[in-house]
Amino acid sequence: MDNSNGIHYIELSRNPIRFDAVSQLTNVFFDDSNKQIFAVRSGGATGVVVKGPVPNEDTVISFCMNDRGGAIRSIKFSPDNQILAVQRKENAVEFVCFQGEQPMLQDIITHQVKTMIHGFVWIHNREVALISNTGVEVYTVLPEKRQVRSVKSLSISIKWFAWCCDANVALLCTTEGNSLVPVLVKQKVITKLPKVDLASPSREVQESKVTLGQVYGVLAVLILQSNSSSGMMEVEVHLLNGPGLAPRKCHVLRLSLVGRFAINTVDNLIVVHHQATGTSLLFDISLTGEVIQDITYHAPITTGRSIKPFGLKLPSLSPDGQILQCELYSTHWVLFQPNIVIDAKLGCMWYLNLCIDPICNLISDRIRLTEFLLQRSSGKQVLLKVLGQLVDDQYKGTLLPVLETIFSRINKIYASWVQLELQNQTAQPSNVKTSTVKHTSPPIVLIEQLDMVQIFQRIARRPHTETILMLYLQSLNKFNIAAQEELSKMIISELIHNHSFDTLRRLVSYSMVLESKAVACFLLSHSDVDTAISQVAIDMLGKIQAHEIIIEVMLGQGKVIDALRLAKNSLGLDKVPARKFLEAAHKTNDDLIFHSVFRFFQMRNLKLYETLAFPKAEQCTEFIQHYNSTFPVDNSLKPQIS
Amino acid sequence: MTKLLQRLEVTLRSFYVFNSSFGEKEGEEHKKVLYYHPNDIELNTKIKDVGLSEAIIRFTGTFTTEDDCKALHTQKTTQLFHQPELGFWLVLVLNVPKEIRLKEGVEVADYRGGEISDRIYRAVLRQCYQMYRFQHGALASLGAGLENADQRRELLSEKLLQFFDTYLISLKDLAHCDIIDMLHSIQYLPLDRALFLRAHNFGMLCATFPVIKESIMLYNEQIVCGGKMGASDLYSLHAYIVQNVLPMDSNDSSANTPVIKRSISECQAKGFVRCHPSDASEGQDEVLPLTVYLSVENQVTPHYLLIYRALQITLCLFLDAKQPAPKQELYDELHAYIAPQLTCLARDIASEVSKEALAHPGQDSSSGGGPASNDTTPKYLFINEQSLQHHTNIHRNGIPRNVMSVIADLANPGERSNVAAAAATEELQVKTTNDYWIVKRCCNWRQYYVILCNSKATLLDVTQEAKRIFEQELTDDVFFDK
Repeated sequence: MDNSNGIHYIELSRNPIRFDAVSQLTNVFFDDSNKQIFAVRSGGATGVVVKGPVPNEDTVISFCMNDRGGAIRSIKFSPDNQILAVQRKENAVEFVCFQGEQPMLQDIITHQVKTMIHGFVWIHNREVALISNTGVEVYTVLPEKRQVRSVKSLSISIKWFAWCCDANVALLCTTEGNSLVPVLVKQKVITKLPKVDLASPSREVQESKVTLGQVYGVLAVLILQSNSSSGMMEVEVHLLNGPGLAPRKCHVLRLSLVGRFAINTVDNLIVVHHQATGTSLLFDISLTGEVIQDITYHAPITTGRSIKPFGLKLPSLSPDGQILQCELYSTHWVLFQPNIVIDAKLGCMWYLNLCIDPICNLISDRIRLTEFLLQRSSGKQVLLKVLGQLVDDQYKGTLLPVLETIFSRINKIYASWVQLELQNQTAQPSNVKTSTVKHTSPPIVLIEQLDMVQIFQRIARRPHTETILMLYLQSLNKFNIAAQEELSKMIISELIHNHSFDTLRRLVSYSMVLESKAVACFLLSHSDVDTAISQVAIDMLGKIQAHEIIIEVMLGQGKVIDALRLAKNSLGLDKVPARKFLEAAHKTNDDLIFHSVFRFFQMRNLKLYETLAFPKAEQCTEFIQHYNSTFPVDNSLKPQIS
Repeated sequence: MTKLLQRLEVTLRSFYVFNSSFGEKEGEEHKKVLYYHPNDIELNTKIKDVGLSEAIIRFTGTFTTEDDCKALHTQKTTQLFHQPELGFWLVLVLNVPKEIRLKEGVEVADYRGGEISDRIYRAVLRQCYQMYRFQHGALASLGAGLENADQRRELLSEKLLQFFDTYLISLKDLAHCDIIDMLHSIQYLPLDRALFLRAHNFGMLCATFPVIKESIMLYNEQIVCGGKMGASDLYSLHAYIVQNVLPMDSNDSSANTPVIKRSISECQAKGFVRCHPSDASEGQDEVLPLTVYLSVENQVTPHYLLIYRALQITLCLFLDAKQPAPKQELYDELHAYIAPQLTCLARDIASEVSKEALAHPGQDSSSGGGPASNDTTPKYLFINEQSLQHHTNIHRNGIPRNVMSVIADLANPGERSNVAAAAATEELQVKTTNDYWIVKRCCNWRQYYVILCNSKATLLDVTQEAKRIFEQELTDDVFFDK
């Protein structure tokens, strides 16, 4: 055991759910559909305590019920906790109705069948499926009528079964032919799916070797078996993603170990626990592996490591308490899907969680790490941190191709999301009525431009920043994503800082940075560095037809005539504000300019109002006075102050 | 009656470099002359010419605050002066075009000094210096370690002799120098976004190999990405590549370039263009790469230039020459890294370029090509002052000299002297004596010229026609005030 090593990628949830430990008097049951743990004392007579699924006192249900003879084999609440199903005999299930949190013990419905019941599962608040040796039957429980009515049944001889509540799929092992048949059991519907391909018909799979789990939204049948040549254990992963949910053998996880194993799924990772070495192996079927005949063979993501040691704080009177180091991989452990660990002797139930930070140090290949983190629910922050390190303190010129690949991975997901959002925005015309607006969920880890800009901002003005930004821009361009304002500004300021005006010019002429007034004004604000920048800024303003800003720029530079010509062409003669231009012309202290501008507006007045005089609303009196005093010519031609 | 017998175009009369401080004592005047072309004339003549130039510079210096004597026109010659470094003067003396006419039975020479545009030839002169500096560094810096001024002078003379003797021969026919030569403009290859980014980001080679300070990529004669190199260095590099590297493709036999007395051998169809000192023994395994001088932050610093060819792409890599020369391992490593990527990029660019050529069969981007259009079709010339890029259909020699001179005089100077004022917006129309109209527009650091030839055109016609051409041809840049 390498517990001492200190790096652990799997931990037990900090607050375990405590329950009465198994003893002579107490039996403990776990319902993996509701994630409830039942501590049954003396067959229920002295109390039943139900806890779960969250470690919170509010969810505790405790009650007493009569011991009606026969040890309890299985006990499960309906999803709404209103009906309790108890199996005490192999051919009967009792249904106890609840009023609030107390059972109505007088109204127990006992449902008896002629077959041997392997088990039952709640599929709805009032519907339960019984799996017996002759088949699957769905019943509706009618508490008012004290009746249980059969709704649907499927006849098939069953040796054992496994249930996955998330997918509503039961995997049946048939008596004849030992085949594994997945069955979709929903309200009033039972659908038999194509059977799992076990390669050889004679192969018999034991119940303990099979795990049902959901990985990346697909139901997976995980079968432990030993490799025929090496003798090492492997996990066959059959995914129900073929046509008609047909299971296909897609992956094989190479454990390279022998002994007893148990399997969990945590955050779409398959965790294989090995009891003998006290380690857990991580597999991610989305990562690449060796592909042989369409089957991907995976090695563990890193070498096996143990679960993080857990110190259980025992109730004690002293304030510091007593810490009990829990035995990991104990023989008292029972594992449930997807990530539940129960130590029946200790009376603890934990959820297994992924410690994502240590994994970053364990996966040295940054590209593989990116692929890994992009699939983890808590991967975004960690990935951003990794990226931040890559461009910052770990930066090396030789890492650029790696960065290029990482950007490509990130942007592939980003692009698909941008595409989806775009479709959602555009694909709702009036003629589509029936189709419901599909609410698309975002990718597990979505790293947008803004996230990247935040990272890049931390390395602003370093020598290599421009290179990285251009690389990122190239990657965005590859996936047809346009640069947004923040990124555009960042690129522009880096290019300006490095005096790469040539690149800047070409980026703008290719429209590879965002063309907006804000970006153009940002460029303008740097035009004191080099005239190339103001040219580029005005080009951009011209492209987006932001004539009013260009006019302002020109007026600011004292080019009143140029501004006036542009204003006339772009705004139209009647919309050119006279006061503004006269004021600017006045400020130049150039009589020629003032005269030209003034005469221009006089001619405009003549055209629009058929008089040389300015309309009052334009408030040009002071300029008329200035004109009169500067150019006192013939009195008869002098414009009147209106 | 006069009859034109013969016309002699402008020719190079002499070219010399001098520095007065090398021969201040009497009797040592010859030391001032660092280089004189043609060499085979009497030393006394050389000294006299230099002395005359010195005198003119001194004389004009009394009227101006700086030493900005630029040109001297005499009946038969035009002298152009250029002082690139303090004390060092380059003088270009041209024979003005001459027309020999028969006037009443007597041959009379008619000198047409007015046809010479100072600005065009000053640009040629400036480029002489730039090319020298690009290959050999600043004049003043040579032999800086040597105490003895005489030794430095001799060393410098030797270098100048070595460089200019070949450079002046390769200099293009002076009669055909035009506005394009004056502008020192750089032609960029238009590419689509993705390819441009790919080509640009190929420059991250510099990050992978930190010894590489800069990389410049050319496709045929056009620049794909120029990096952060200054415009004048880029132009010199371009001129060097076009003159010395690209021709090797056409004559692949042992090419002896006249400029550097080295035989340049290519490894294979592609790879590094390596220079071997022709006189060095074969056993010498370390070959010094070509050294060029770039101005970085106003200082001229030497760099090793490695030239790598892959299909039509020429990749120029600059290494700091203060470091030891690159070893064979670096070449091998670079080759292994560059070869697959660059070949792929070159192929993609080639297919893009051919696609473009198919889409616009009429537009031939290269300057020389295209069928000779007749003189009456309107010509245009667009220049971006900032990037020194031009777009034109002016077929060389298609326009009379006087029109070219007018444009040269109209053109805003390439030197960035009046940065703020250059942004002015203006429109000018010029009519020449031989019925050419030149319309110049200037806006947002761009200059636009339209040249029309129509004797009957009115001012209105010309305005209309110019407007039409501006709108038709001006697609790449935004001219907001059409």
